[in-house]
Amino acid sequence: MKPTKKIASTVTFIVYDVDPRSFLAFRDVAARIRKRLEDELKNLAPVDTLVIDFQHVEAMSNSYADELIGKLYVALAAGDVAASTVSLTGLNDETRDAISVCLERRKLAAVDADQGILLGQVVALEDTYARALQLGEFRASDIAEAMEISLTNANNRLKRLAEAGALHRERASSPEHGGKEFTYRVPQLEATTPSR
Amino acid sequence: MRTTGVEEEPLVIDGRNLKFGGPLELTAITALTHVHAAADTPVMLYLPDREEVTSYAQRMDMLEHVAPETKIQGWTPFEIRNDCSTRLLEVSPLNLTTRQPVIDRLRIIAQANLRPPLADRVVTGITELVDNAVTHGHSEAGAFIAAQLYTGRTTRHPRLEVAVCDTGIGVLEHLRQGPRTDRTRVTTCAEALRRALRRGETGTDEIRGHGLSDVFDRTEELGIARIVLRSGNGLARIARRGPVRRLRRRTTTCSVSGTWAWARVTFPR
Repeated sequence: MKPTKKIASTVTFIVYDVDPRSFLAFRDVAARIRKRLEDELKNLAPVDTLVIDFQHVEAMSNSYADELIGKLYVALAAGDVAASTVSLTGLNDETRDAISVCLERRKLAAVDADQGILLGQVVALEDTYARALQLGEFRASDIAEAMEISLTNANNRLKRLAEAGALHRERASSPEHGGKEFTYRVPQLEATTPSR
Repeated sequence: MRTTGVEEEPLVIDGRNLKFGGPLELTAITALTHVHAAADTPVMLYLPDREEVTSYAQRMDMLEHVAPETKIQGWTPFEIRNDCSTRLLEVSPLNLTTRQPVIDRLRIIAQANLRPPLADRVVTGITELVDNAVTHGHSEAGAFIAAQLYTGRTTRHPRLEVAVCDTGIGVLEHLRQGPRTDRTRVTTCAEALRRALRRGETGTDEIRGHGLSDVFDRTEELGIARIVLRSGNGLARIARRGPVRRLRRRTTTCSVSGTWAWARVTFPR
């Protein structure tokens, strides 16, 4: 019998552990850190939730943020990251700002798990994410009803949130309306498997 | 200060009448000597007649970092060196090895003189200049950086000046390498500099190119910011006061190899 691969529930990648500087700079360094993260995820895959922790980092350049986080989220939106959801933690005002800038430029969004908010390109998504946090686990029809928006609109917003790694998305076993339907779930951060 | 020579001709840097020197003068002189030394052309440097200006160049390690082939004429005073690590970043070569210590030194200067969130914002802006020089401006002749924090005693307001001079291919050639660059529209160094200060202009095939613009954005709340760029025969000046930016560019009669960047951020008292 083939052995089944253990699913890593939550994996935390502490940036300071692999790049021990309080001020993060230089694009090429960020590229190496991102590659290491991606390689570690492949080894641990499948991963339910990836947490990228910026504790001890006091500031970072926009270029570094773009190379590490911007490009990671581009890959995430394309389905090329071996994690279902991604959250950022340990941010301060400076690192949050650098990450927000790079995500806005790339028209992407990410979850700041400590503050329970979205960073980056968040128009029309902030309210939806806030509602998702309240609901916990839901379908698009639940969001549409709660926010008094169309089902199509709800589906579009939830798709973008899933591409931003903010929500788990799974095919519903019993679609309410026939056809393809998904259930969504906000990731619960818990005690983790360390990334190394 | 007068200079003569293109790369193939002997370079004479006549600083005898120089009345003032700052980070840009020091890094530019250093870069010039290395460009010509790399081309195997003789270099002569006449030191300033004013003792305080020569003393400043000496204190800022310019004499230590000019190309070793440089013939230096003039008198250097006896030096007593005090610790100025919270105000000065002496002329330093800028490369993959030195860039981290350079940033660490800039942080020391910024944190000693600015309140916490602003100190790191200034440094993150300047880091973009450093990253550009090391990534896009590398060459045999090298790149150099210097910085000084003026307390405001003689300059009315405190300000930080940083100069980065690289000897790479220059902004025009860099942008023209970019697969998304319309080469019919980017034909002069002055135009290339104007574009380099816009968001999203890059000579790479990636979505990036915000570095120079970020120098302003990160320092917006600090007050007045000014950047001067020279590359080839192009010169661009951009000043920002609050949210308002003003850009001027022109073609000069004198060309420089690589790219020279000078940034000044003036802080409110």
